[in-house]
Amino acid sequence: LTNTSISDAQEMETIWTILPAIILILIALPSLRILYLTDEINNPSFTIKSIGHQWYWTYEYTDYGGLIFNSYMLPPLFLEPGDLRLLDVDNRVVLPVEAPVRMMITSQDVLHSWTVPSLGLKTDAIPGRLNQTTFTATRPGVYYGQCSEICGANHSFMPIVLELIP
Amino acid sequence: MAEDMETKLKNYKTAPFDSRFPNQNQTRNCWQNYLDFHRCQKAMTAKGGDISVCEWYQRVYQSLCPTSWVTDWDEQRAEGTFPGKI
Repeated sequence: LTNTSISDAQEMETIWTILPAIILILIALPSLRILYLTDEINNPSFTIKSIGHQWYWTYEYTDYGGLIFNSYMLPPLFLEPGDLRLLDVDNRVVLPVEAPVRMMITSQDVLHSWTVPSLGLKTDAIPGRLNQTTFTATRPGVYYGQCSEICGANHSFMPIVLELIP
Repeated sequence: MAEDMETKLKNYKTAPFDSRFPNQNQTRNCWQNYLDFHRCQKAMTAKGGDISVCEWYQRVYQSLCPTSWVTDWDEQRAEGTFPGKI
C-alpha cells in the first residue's frame, strides 16, 4: 500500500489554481467597469464640504459666502423627549429636496466615513484627499447616519443628520 | 469673452463638472483651481490687466476646497514654503 495515486498531482493543482484565477478576473473586470459607470455625471446645484474630526463633523457651505459650523452628537443629558440617543446632533445639515447636491468629504485627522444609509451614501473621509459623492433626495425628512470608519474612542458618537426640506 | 465670463460668474451656482477630474477623487480639482487662480492673478497683475477674469477660479476653489486647506496654503505662500509653482 503506497500513496502514489494520491500525491504528486502537479497538473491538477496547476489547473485548479489557474482556472479559478481566470474566472475571478473575468468577474472583476466588468465589475470594475460598472463601478465607474455608476459614478454618474450630474450637474449639482450646490456643494457642501464635510470634514471629519475626532469626534465631530464640520460642514461648510461656501458657494455663496462662508457658512461653516460643527455638528456634535447631543449628549444624553441634553436630549429632549423624542430625540434619538446617539443619533441626534446639535446642528443638522439642512438641504433642499429635489436638488442635486455634491458632498466633498475629507478628514482633518484620522480616517472617518460619512454615511447616510437611507440615501445609499457612504464615502470615506481620508486626510489629504477630497472625495466626492452626489445625491438627489426626493423626500423631505430627517435622515440619520453614523461614522463608519473606526476613528478612536468616540467613533460611535459622531453621527450625521441631514434635514431635507421641501 | 469677458462678457461671457461676467455672465458665467453672475449665473454661478457651484463648481461645474470638470472632465479633467471625472472620478471620486477631487483633490486635484481643488488644487488645480487654487493654483490657476493665483497664477492668473500674478500674470494679470504683472501685465497690468483686469484680475476680475480670474474670479472664476477663485469661486471654484472656494466651492471645492476645505477652508482649512486654503488657509494653510495661503500661509505657506506668505512664508514662501508653498509647494506649488505659481
